[in-house]
Amino acid sequence: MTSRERMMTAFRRGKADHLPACPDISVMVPAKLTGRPFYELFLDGREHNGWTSATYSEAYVEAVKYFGMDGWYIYGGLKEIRPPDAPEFVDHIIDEGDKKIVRRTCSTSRGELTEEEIYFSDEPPWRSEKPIKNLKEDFERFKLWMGLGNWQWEKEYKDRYRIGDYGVYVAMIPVFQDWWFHYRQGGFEQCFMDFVDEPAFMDEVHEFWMEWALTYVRAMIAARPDEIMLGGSSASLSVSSPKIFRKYELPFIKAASKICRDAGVISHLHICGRSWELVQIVAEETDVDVMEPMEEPPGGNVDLAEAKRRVGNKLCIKGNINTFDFMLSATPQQVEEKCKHLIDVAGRDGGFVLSTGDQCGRDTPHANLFKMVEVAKTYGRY
Amino acid sequence: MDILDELSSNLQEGHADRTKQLTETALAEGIPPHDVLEKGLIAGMNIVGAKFKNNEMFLPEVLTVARAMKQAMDVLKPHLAAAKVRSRGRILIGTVKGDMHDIGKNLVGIMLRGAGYDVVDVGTDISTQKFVEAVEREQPDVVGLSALLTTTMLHMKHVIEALDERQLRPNVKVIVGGAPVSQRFADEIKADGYARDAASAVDLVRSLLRDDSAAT
Repeated sequence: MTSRERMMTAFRRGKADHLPACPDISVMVPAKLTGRPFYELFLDGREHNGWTSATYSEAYVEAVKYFGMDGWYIYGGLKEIRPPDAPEFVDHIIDEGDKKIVRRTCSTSRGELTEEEIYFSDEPPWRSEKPIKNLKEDFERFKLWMGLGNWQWEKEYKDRYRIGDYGVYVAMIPVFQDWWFHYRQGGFEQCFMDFVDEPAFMDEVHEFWMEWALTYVRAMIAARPDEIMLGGSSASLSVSSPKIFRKYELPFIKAASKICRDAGVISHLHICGRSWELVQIVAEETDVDVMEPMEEPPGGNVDLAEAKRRVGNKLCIKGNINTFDFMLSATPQQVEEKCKHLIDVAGRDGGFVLSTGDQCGRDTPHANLFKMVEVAKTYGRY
Repeated sequence: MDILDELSSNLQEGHADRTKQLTETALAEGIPPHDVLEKGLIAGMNIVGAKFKNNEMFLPEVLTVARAMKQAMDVLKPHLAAAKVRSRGRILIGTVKGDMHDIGKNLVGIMLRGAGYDVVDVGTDISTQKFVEAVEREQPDVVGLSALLTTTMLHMKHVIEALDERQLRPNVKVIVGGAPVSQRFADEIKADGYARDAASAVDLVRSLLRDDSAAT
């Protein structure tokens, strides 16, 4: 059975040859494996449709092969077909020796938008400036960049070959709070104050975004990825609230997962941090097929055995080993015991992908990642 | 409901304008500024802190409460100064070098201010040298170090060592926090304490400063 087949079987709550092992190694571990400065990987100058880069996505696949794990390729995307007169962001790169600063400027008919991202040599990039600073004025400019409707994308995932059968090809779309946090200056505090201080305006923003997001989901489905992941880190209850989730996220998750269900495409929701209250809502009120990472304490609040008991008949679970308190410092023996326990409580009847509670830290011992894979292949054999 | 209870209640609901008005009214009615602070605002923040710790309130709600608290304190501060009411202690907080994350630090600042402490926030990506300079300048009772990355939390040790070298360490308690940080790590780097969340940070500061005011 290929890794891709194994993951897809688990996503459909079936039993594969053995449990899939898919620790979340996104960004730092593959980057470090290359031995190159991280900014070289991200600022490679190559065409790529997705939130990272061609070089980084290749590094991820190499890491998948290195660890012998089942891959979860979330690094690609569809190329948007933009009108020829659409305003675009133009990059200006400033070399500061041990880091690169990318300043981006977009000139619209209503004025300029600017943003800035810092690319480090040994850490993931950081968005130090976001384009929407003055809420209403900049959002009008931002809409001109996004387009006011009639969004179109190419019909093929051109980087799909990279992961091949080493894992699943995942189309990704951020949920509303992730999207808003990505573009709104001022961090989480400002985002939440927007909801409180400008509720009517944020309803308009949300409506605009929903229209765009559901159009994109339909475009992604037409290109037939293995699954569609709804990226929801900012919807985590570690930073957000159930009330905001219900108002701004649930409508989209319901609609998107239904579209996926009707089209026979797996839908997958990522909410790290504290998420237990949301797990039940998602299982009961949406058509989501897979949920992750069901993070355990101290970062999260999910007990995997309880999750399996309550929602295992509705959701494939991918998770949930703590990355900073456990994976960084545990011995391989401890990792083995932990994995066996999780397999016993969540994996025996399928519908489980052995994974971590969030991204593994850059310095996670390789022995611990290898051990996860080994236990999944042996103790996790069906 | 007496006015201080009403003040506490409106603060807990995050009603900024009403909280500010009630603060002004309480002062106008001759209630001592210290009582407005302790029995109105801090009493309300203690309840918020407990609810936040117990997952009954969430970060967005705490942020609206914090804004209400700030507006009330802007009214109250001159009166506290005039009445020579001293703060419970001065806390300097910052995120260590190489780390831009600030939400945890900001939340700790909110909760500490809500508990009656003076908070000096030096920001993010703060080098060891800048922390030391800030401690010399601000003379805090406690320094709170925040990190969200396993790679940056190592700078916490450097800050503690630098404070030692400058002979500032005996005069200041150092507490640490952030997602990758743990009690074990705090012990290894000889910090005075570790707080797993903002509400716990208040309890920790209270115990380190031997502050007997109401705990969360």
